[in-house]
Amino acid sequence: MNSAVMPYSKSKRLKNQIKSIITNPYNIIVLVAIILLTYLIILPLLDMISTTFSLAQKDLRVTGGQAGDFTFYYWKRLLASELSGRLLVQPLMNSLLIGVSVSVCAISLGSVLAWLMVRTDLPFKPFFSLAVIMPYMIPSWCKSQAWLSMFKTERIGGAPGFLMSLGIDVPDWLAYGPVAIITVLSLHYYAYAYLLVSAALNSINSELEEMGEIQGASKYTILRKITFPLVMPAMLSAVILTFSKAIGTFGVINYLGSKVNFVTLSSQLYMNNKSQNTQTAFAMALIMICIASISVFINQRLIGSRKSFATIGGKGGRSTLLGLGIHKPLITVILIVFFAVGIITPIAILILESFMLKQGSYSIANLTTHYWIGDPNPAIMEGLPGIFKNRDFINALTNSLKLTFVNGVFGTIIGQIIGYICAKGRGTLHGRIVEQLVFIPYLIPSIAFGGIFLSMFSKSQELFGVTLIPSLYGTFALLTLTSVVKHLPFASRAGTANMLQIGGELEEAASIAGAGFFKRFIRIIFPLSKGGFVSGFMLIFVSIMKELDLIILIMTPTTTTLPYLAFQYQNGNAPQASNCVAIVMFSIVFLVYAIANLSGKADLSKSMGG
Amino acid sequence: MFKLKKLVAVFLAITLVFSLAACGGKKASSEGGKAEGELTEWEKSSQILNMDQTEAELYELAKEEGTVTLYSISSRCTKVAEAFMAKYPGVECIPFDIKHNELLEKVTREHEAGQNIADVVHAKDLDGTLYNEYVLNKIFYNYLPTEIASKIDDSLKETQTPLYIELVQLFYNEEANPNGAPIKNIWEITQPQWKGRIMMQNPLDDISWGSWITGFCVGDTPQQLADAYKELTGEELQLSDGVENAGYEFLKRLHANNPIYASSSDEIAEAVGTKGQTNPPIGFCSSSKIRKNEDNGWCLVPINLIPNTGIPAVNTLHIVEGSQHPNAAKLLVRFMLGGTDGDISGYKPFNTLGGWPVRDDIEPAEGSTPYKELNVAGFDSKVIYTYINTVRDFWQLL
Repeated sequence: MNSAVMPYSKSKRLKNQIKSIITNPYNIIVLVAIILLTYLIILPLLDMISTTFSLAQKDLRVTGGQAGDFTFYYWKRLLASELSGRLLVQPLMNSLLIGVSVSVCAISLGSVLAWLMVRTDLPFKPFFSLAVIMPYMIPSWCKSQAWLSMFKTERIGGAPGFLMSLGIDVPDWLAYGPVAIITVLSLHYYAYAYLLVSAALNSINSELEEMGEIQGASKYTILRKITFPLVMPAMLSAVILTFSKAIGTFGVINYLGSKVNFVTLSSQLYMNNKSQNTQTAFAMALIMICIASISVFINQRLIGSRKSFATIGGKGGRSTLLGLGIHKPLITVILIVFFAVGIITPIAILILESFMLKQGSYSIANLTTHYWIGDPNPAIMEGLPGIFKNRDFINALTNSLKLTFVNGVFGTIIGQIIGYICAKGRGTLHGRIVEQLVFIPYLIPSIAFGGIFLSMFSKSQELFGVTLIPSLYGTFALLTLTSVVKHLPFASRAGTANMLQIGGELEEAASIAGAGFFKRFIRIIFPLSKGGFVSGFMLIFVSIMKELDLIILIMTPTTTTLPYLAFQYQNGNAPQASNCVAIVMFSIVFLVYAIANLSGKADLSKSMGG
Repeated sequence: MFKLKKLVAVFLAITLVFSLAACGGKKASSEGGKAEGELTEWEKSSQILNMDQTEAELYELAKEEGTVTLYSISSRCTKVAEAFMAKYPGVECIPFDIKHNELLEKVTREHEAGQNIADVVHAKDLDGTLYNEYVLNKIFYNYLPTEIASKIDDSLKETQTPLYIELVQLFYNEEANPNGAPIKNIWEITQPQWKGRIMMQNPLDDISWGSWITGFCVGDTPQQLADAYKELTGEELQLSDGVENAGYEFLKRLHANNPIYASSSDEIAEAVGTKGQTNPPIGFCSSSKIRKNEDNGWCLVPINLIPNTGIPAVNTLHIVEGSQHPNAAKLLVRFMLGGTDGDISGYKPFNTLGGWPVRDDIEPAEGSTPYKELNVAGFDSKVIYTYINTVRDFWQLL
């Protein structure tokens, strides 16, 4: 009897299992997500890898053979030739120096600011909380320009720096090279740590700290033994974002480092790319991806199994602010000076320069509104009108707004769905696969990513003779697709944090009451996550507004955007007009952020935690 | 566990299928009739090899095509487009200003995918890549009408359709050097008093600076450099160990003199040319920066170096294979080259201080030193193409 029933029940069990897997919309969504991510992320990565093993026509003059042959030439040259030291080892050391130092500085700065803003009775908080995000919105080149205006020495000629004109002797090691780069990048990237840590701090019930206080612990002990361990995971997440961003960036490094011949792996990559050594550049990018992956791995090890602390209990949390006591005025003054120097100065310089007829002449007579609203004048800017009277500007503005809003919305929706998978699938294989996959685009250099997408989608994509996707080249869809995928790491981080805040018991209750997957998503998950949705939107919005490298290959002459216009003016001897465009971009971002922030719907800091 | 295995299997299968699909796509594009000797479909239909069509003929055909797209490394392309549309109503010209490296990347990928957006490309073939990899592979066509070709020196048009010439020149600050150029011989910049006072771009930074340093090591230039050294010091040049010729020796000594790298030509022009400096550096940058003297209140003056200022940077025009608007493209190339009817409105945007026309019947901009009086190295893009990697590696190891 038993032996007859066993096989039957086994196969029935199997059938039921398959049925439940197939009919569960969650599984289908996971499957679709994994397929799409593989297609959109792994394929470009494979393309990069295979490129580094394929002989380019341009190198036949050295190696002989046929274009497209399999070769170890590029890797050998990079890893084991007399050039390795200059091409790889030295730049790699410099990259690590920058990456580690910037991470330490930016994380410390961001965490201290977050702690002051969330846990203490600091005055003027609404002002500070708005100001503290602004560095994320100002392009980093504005800051490096401001740095040079301040510290420039005679070494590089030109107009004297501000300090030099006051008669102060600035040493070269301060003005250029690693110290300058680390400072400027730290002032740019502390925003990540601030956002993550303040989100974590926000969710801590102050009862935890009060308990320590009752036990007789000093303020320092409470900070060290209770608060710090609770925000540790957030800080480590910030380390990854900051570290990989810092080793990947080249603008600031090139600008401030070239004067003392300080090169990093990213600036080597950029130089090789500009010299059409695409294969070497890709190989360097792959090495950078490996380094960043190692940092992710170490990070996971450090956090270990305690991925996050359940800080939101069933009962209402409350938060008692910590008194700063006698230090309050001092800290307030330091912060105000910090914001004045770090944020207001670069913006003020930018605005002032946009009103200067000729660069470098700081007299009242030199002020003009020409670059904003002037009519064409052959003597200025080769006859180009002020930006608000320029058709190109209006066109670029429209395109930029369209691109950022459409991408913001699409990116956010997809980010939330992926966030849902990551949050619900924490600790499972598919959860980890998705989480790892979406992180990769963060590390592929923008220009390579844009180029590969151009190639992939210029032809219609066919499978067994069926056209899956028509050729997208020149369409708005391709711009959107590329930007969305490239910004997925941000979007999905925001989504994950958002979804983690929603307790599983709510969904379970609905499920017991008979609600299907889609009903649960629409009636419970979505309404609860609306706030985070807006925050996620802001993150992508800000980032796409500044994007140029990624989309310059994909845009057509008629679909240009504001960053492109800024580049064009800079290129065409009209830096003032370029500044005008940069100010418009900043104003849009700031306006949208301020509206979202003031109406209480969004807070960037709430969307990055978890 | 079962669920996961299944997921992984499906995931791998899909990856495989998609990668295969992607591979298939690539092969197809690299084929396409390119038999030797025989004209391709496009070559026939576009008559790209016919250099004898007249302007009127092309205009008629161009009107049917209606539009032409120009990818250009110069921001002045917008002015060219305006002038073109003013002269040839009915043909729209769409300019796109983009950096050299990105231009090539974009055009290459577009062409591979059969998406011809660009009809005409304005670039520079400093290192011979465009000739060796694009023209010889029939991706770009050098269209140069017979009527105009006769007005251009043969040495310039062998591998390219030249548009105008720019140089990398050494500039000094006139205000700080009222008695004229502080140096005359190029070897002077390797002397101790100029240590850390010469600005340039990192030769590894991009392909044009890489080509420029290569120019010193090939052709007649090494010999000229050796002669110039003797002229300056009265002694024979002693080559260092393992250094092949005077060109490499010059680069080695220049590098040893600690030049300061800027990230753009504009930065160098500003550093050298800004007034009010007591000890300004000297610097190599694009000759076109002299245009900005007046606008920016600079006092840049170029030095006519002995033996020469390196290779010229010849701007070139190309028509892209598969262009849907070949006649409009040809008309635009003619127009940009200055046409044949005496109306040079298409050439004017480029004919400025610091740029020299390639045509013998077009006068350079007012105030320009005639090109013939300048010391410029000979330029053979094929030789540069052969040696640029060697010289770049040499510099990298210094």
